[in-house]
Amino acid sequence: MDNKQLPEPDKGQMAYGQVVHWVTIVSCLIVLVAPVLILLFPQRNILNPNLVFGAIFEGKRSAEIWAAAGLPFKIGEFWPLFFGNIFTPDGFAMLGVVLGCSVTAWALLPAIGIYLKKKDYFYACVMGFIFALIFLAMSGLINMAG
Amino acid sequence: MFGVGFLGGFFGMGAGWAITPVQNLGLGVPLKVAAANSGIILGMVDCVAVWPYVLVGGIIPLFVLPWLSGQVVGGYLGALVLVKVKVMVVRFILIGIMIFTSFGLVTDGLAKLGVMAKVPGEISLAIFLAFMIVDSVIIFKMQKRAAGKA
Repeated sequence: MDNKQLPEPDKGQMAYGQVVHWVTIVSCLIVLVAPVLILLFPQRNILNPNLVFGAIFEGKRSAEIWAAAGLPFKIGEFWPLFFGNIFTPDGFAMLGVVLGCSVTAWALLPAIGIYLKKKDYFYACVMGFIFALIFLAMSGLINMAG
Repeated sequence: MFGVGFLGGFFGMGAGWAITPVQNLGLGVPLKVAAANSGIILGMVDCVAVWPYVLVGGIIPLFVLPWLSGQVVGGYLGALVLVKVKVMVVRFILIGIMIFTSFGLVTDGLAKLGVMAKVPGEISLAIFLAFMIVDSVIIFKMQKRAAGKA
């Protein structure tokens, strides 16, 4: 099929796809660099990397792994812990995870803007609803595991 | 759709194996479009489903990092291959993976009920390879037949 015959992609969808694509790549690069930093500067980590794998392979639960690695994790204190240690190798690793796990939220924002500009309120509302769900999940307000 | 979302949340996300066949068989969406759609849907659903695990400390940074990078690179390559290969090939690979997944879930369930012993990893791997070889033979024969007709 000739390229001229292909339908023009929707701008909102393109914006969503582009943001997901590039943020995922950035997050992927962070998680590739982070293990190197963790192993290069073990004394600057908040979790002892030597103890983490030992605890995991012993079959311990997540709370026990955090405690065994030197930092007891308290439920509801993820964000203070994350922002308080963002400049440590562990914190940098977690930045990659957080970025990757929230990529949809960042991608929805420009798409919502484009649909609002096009006065396509239905799609804007649906995307806004999904954004709200992700935001609530990130804030811990929707937290069935707790 | 609710059922697929529930399975994704219950089993720790990754309900792509359920979304693609449901869209293809239930809604009549073409297979390649269904496979691509499942990626978009999974991205949104998993972005919500993963946070309860993150917030309770279920994610240990050092342990998940290789998984994340590996899965992103694998997903990228998989999407590139999906565009190039024929629908029939995608269908048979999907059927093979689904049969193997079902085998794993059934044997795991029976082992937990005490009906049978847990299937060792080596046997699971051998069964997976056997399914993929059978798949490849079927695909090869069908392609040969299609080439003969043309």
